Amino acid sequence: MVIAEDSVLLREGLAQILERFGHIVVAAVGDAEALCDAVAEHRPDVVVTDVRMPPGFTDEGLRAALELRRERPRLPTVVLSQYVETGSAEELIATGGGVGYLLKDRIGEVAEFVDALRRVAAGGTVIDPEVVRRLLAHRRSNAAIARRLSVTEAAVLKHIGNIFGKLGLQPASDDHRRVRAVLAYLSGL
Amino acid sequence: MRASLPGRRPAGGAFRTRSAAAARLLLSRRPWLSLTYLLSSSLVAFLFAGLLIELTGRAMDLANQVAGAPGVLMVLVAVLAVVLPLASILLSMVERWRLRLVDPGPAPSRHPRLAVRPLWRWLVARCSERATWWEAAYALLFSIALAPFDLTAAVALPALPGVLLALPFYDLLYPGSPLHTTGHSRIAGNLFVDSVQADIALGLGGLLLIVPTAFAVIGLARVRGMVARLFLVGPGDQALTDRLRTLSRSRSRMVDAFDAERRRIERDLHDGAQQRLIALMGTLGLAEIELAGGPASARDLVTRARHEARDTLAELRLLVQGIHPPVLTHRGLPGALDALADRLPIPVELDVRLASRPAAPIESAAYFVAAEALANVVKHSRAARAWISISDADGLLRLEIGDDGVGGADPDRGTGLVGLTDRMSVLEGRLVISSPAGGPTVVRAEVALG
Repeated sequence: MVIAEDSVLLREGLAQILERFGHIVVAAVGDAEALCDAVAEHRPDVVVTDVRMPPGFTDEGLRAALELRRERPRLPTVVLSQYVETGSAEELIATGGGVGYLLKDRIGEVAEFVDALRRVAAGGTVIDPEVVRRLLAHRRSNAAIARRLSVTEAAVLKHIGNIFGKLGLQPASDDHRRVRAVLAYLSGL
Repeated sequence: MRASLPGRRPAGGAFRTRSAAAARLLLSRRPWLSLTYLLSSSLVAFLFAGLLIELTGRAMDLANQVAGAPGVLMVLVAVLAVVLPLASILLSMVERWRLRLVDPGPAPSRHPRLAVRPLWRWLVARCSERATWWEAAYALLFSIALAPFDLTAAVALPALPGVLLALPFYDLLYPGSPLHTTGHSRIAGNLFVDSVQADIALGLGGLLLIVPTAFAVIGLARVRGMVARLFLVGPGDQALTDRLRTLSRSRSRMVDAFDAERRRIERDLHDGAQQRLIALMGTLGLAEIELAGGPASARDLVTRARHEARDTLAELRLLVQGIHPPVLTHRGLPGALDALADRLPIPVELDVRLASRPAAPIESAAYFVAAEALANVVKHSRAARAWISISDADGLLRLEIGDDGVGGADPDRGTGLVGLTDRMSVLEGRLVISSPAGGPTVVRAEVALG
């Protein structure tokens, strides 16, 4: 695994957790450029990166993750964010399977966190429950949702089961409309 | 940001702009107003000085007949101490009014308001005012030097192009005049030129001279206006303007500094306390796992500690959101307004049309206007839905937040909107709130993108 996190304390904490569960951290770096170098050098099974890192402290980590995914589409990548940004989650998911977008808070739920990494490594998609909650609670007017849904309904419905599997949600019929909105988001329309 | 704008123009732009401005100035009313100002000076001076001298002369005559030399002296003292100041005050009123011909700035009188009765007290107060003596000094200077100078300039300056332009017509009308010899024009002395070519050349020369003449007239009138302003309005006005400019600059610097400080606090919290809390949660999570086989009480304590750390982190996150939302830094207004709309318990329709990202102070002001307006929608409006629209057409950022609630919002109550109005005014933007009783409420903010 390769870890990118600019806070030394947290970087070491992360490494400790991962190693406790038998993973090998081949490189732990502090910025996006070093992350790309480390990935090129070590060819890790999983990349874990912070969003906000030097030099600009905006979303370098996310950009690096997207770049890495472009170069190696199957590289399992987990992005850890301090805040829920549905837009970032959208962009990440648009790159295909084997990605994760998690709030940093989840690190505390050690077992679940490590399990999420394992699922991403196996090609799954893990989205923070908070992101899903935010999207489901996204109560825009129907008109706005309709505007966002620019694919055909049939194509949307085809993916619903799939998405539910990935999110680990139980489908309920009255959630249908909102799920379609969520789906529209997740597929990055 | 604003200051760097002219630098982006192509090299020839400044010159072209300047000559266009000069042409506009020449074609405007300015040259004529300036000429009027200079010409009317002498009329005013003539009336003022003429009346004053005439009246003084008659009074002295009368005094001489009644009381002889001491009477004349008394009249002279009275004129210098009372009549001249009072007349100067009157003249200055006229002069300040005339000043508007060449100086659009406000020209208020420097006299304080006084109660007219009792009259003698008013007289004493007026005649001993500093402003009055400035005005008297101006009156003397004006009558003796300035007005004759104005008249000379107003006549002499246009004379040369005037004569040159008139010569060809003069030739046409009076072919046998002394300026003429057979087939030739005499310009001066023994200088003769062929008539037709000379007429054309002289006429063209006259036309060309109009431009510098007009500028000279404008310039002179302006200098004269400045002299009048110095005596009759005083430098106080300029000082106030300068101070106002300094104040508004420092105000906007301070707001920028506050903004930068908020960002710094947000970054410090993000890099420091928040990361430490997350690391702490990780450590506690590991401790839980290590304690899996151990005493349940210890495990529970660790779990509780981890939950407390989690809640602290959540609180910190809310705090940071209020200081400077990170999503605004990362994703600009579209992302930040989207996140804002997400957190609202009612449907919010979002219409974002931004061609580019505004400067940071404008961006954060717009964000906080939207945040405050939406908070008010939730708190007071009882609205079922709301909408936000933001666009940046024509160099103007327009932000509107509306709802279908009960209206009746009063911007004077509650500090939130007042603070936002201040914030917009620092950016030289404006905030308008329309909220009739019964609704709907619309908050509209506009600010130039600079």
